[in-house]
Amino acid sequence: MSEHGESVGRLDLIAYEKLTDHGLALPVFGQSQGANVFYTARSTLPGEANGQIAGFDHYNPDGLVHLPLDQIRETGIGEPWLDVFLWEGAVYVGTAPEIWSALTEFRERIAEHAPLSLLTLAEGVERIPDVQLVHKAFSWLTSRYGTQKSSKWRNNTYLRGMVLKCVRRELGANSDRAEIRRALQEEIVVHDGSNKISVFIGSRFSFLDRATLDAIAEAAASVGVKAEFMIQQVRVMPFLKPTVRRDPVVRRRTSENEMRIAALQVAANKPDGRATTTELKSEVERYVALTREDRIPSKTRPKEAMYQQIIGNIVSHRGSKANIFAKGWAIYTGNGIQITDAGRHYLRALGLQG
Amino acid sequence: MAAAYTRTGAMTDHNHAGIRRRRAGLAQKRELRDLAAAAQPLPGPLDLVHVTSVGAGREIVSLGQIEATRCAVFQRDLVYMFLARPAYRLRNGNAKWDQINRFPCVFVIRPDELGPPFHIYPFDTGAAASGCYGDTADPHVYLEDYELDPNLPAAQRHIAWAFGDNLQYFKGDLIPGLIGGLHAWQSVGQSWLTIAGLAATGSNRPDKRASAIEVAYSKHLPLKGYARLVIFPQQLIEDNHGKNSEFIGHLTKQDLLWETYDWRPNETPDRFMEDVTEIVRRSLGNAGQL
Repeated sequence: MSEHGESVGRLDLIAYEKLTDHGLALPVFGQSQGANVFYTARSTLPGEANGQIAGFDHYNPDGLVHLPLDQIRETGIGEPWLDVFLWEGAVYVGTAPEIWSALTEFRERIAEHAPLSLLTLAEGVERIPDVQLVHKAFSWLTSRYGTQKSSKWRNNTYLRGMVLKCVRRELGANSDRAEIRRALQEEIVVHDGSNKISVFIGSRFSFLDRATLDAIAEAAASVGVKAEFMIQQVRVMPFLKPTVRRDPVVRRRTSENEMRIAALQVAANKPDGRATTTELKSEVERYVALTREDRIPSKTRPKEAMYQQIIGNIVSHRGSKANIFAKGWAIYTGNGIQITDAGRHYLRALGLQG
Repeated sequence: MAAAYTRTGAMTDHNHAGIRRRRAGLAQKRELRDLAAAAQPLPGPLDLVHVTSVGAGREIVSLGQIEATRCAVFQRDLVYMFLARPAYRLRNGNAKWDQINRFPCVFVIRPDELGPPFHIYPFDTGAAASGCYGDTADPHVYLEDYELDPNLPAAQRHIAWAFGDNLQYFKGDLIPGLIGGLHAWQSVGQSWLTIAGLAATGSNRPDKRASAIEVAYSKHLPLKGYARLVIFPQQLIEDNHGKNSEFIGHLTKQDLLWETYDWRPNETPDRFMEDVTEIVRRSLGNAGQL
């Protein structure tokens, strides 16, 4: 679907618009090579690695550069995000890992002249790229523009950006709500000390786990500073009812993260915060708008709908690092879950009744 | 201001739902000016913010000035800026919406010695004329009725009356309960407060243009000595074949400070603007303006 609700079906990546002569460019799509109606893609994971194409928006280009026929790629919604990377007159098209691989012999040279662009590409391959690349970018900035500029980049662009991405990942689709967007802007602040930075995180976002904070601290260490994290009480925003997005949203199945949140909501509204797996499966639809795809029968458990199987998995896959038990949001009761104080806190951070 | 928004279905020049111009010869109302008259102007004027695309921004830096261009609404050459807020929409007929949206470039300008503005409005007039504020506006109030006095203390008084302080203005949060204090006949004030509510925190997708104070100048504005900061994507400070060196060279030559944001193609335009807003907020905060 395009942003105006018209179905665009499959499209070809036919062109790009560039910011400058090197690095990532904006991929532009059309129905065919000679198309005169253009689109840009939306990612399922904006700004992140491993995203898929969630939809297409009309785009009115100003300085379009067409790809040669042999580089045109057909794609569609649900398929991996495609990038265009420019380097020394050549154009590289594909997923970030494909481009990363195609650039193997040039990477050292790119790191010398355009380390920020290389780092951005690397972040498309892995969420947390090799710390050497971060170090290289920081050193390059220091030597080229001085310590003040490089410190600003390190604190406000790179490390704050990392924290924001981690928080957004946890919040899932809720991160797009107006009041959460504003809170993200105002409540995540990096203060610079001489050899230490303090990352202030609003208490509503205190659900970031130790492993995430450790990864950010490691990235900070690679650019020469110790990071400390301070959870602080920030002015509580008034409770706002969840609002409906104006933009059409391409939805196939509800994400597992949304299902986890709905399961926590079921438990939060039960005595002692306890809900059995059967209760979770039957009541979760009170808290999440299920799609047609959520309701189709499971292939492996034909008596259950897909969404019920996902709920079952959330309860039974207790070894997963991303689940509600590892995050400390719920404990397993033997036949279901019991929400913890941290789980209730997490729901309240999302503006939901905890 | 010009409103030739090029994004399909987003905005057009001749949207009949837009706020209408007053017919020539009819006197405009002065209600908003009168409402703010008793307010003490806040000390120290806020900086002005001009948002454009990276392509247009490069040209501005290379020319050393922001050029006034033809405005379709007011039928003359104007430079448009907002007070403090990087609320962004198409500012003239040359830059295109999608490029501003996808590749924003921001200039923060000191207004102190720019001379008197051509006009000051308490919202984006292009958006108003295009009908972007929908049916929130009173159809019996004309565009000119919203105009503030064309001097910066008048804008500061308006902020004091409507928002209380600069930070609340920057955020778009009105003083609660203002509308209740107006008489039923104060239609301009009521209509403006309703429109301005679109920029406030409680809005579903806040439209910062709705209460951003628009300041227009009818002359080209030089950068040197006036621009305090330029914000653009970090890719532009890397240099592969010299083009970007030239850009940075122009910035240095004109003593322009700069900051960058992290541009990536799979990011949403809203987030670029959030990054830019954060940089502007830090900058104004460091300058003691917020």
